[in-house]
Amino acid sequence: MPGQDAQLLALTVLADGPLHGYAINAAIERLTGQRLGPGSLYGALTRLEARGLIEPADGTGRQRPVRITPAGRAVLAEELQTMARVSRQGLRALGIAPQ
Amino acid sequence: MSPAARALANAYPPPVRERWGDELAAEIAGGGPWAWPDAVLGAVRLWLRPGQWPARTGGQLRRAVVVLAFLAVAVAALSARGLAPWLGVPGGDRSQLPWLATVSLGVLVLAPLPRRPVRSFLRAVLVPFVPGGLLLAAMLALARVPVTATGAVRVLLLTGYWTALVAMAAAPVAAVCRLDPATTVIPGRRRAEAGLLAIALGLAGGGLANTWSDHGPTSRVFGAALLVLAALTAAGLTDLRRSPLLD
Repeated sequence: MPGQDAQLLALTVLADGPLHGYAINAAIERLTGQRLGPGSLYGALTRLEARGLIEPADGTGRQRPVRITPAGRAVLAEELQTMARVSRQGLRALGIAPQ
Repeated sequence: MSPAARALANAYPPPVRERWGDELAAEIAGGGPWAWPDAVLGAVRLWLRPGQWPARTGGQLRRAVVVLAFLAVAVAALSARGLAPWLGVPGGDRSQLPWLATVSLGVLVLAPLPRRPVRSFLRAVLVPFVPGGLLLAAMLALARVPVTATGAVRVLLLTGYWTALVAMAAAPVAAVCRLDPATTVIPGRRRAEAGLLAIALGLAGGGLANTWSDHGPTSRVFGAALLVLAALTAAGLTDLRRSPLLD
């Protein structure tokens, strides 16, 4: 899965609340039916954190939960709105009613 | 946890390991051998983008991208020695001068500056040059001995010479890695961006100049290598500009 898609999926599942890496991948699997590979998942989390779109959340032990930042919410909203426009246009062209 | 999973997690850059190491190793172990290619690819991609490594301060981030830029210049210098002998000819191909000057300017702009007293700074900068410098001096002294080296002796001399060159090229990179913020002024954000831009533009210019030059097939290989290094440096600049870390 391309890196940008992995970042978008991680942001999407983090919009519900802080999660650690394993839980992020489990949520992505529930959403898409497919888990991200370890390099894709932690590469995406590293890049999102470098861009200030996610940040560490309070947690204990070996697992490090992260949460979405306000900047991350703004980027996610913009991306999802673009995807929604593309999706509506594509479904209309195919003559399929949105579910 | 399998030793393979732990080894793959250890292949990631140290700041990434520190941030995600245990979770990453558990995820690799859970995925089994099918997860290994993705784990290797993830490690390679992160090694190439130090500007994306977890950093607590802007200084850490800028140091990471300065190391990347110095590494790119070091690899370019070694590639030039191996693939572009026309660069060492005095008064040779003048079309090479603009990009060489631009890269040199970028290095000067990016160079960390000492804080007073300068002794610790000088020690940190000079020590990495000692092994390569000694080896290079020894190899150059041997080269003056009027004996024709053949066979194994020639291979040994060439290996020694290239080892010395690699050590000398790696020395500035090692020096930046060793510098202590207490004794060194790491370039600020604007200076770092200007230096990275100059190096990226210079390397890209060199890539184009050599790809289209008439120095033969090795010039095209050299040009392609410079273009790759320019892309890596530009990626470092992008990471720096995107980062919210300011101090």
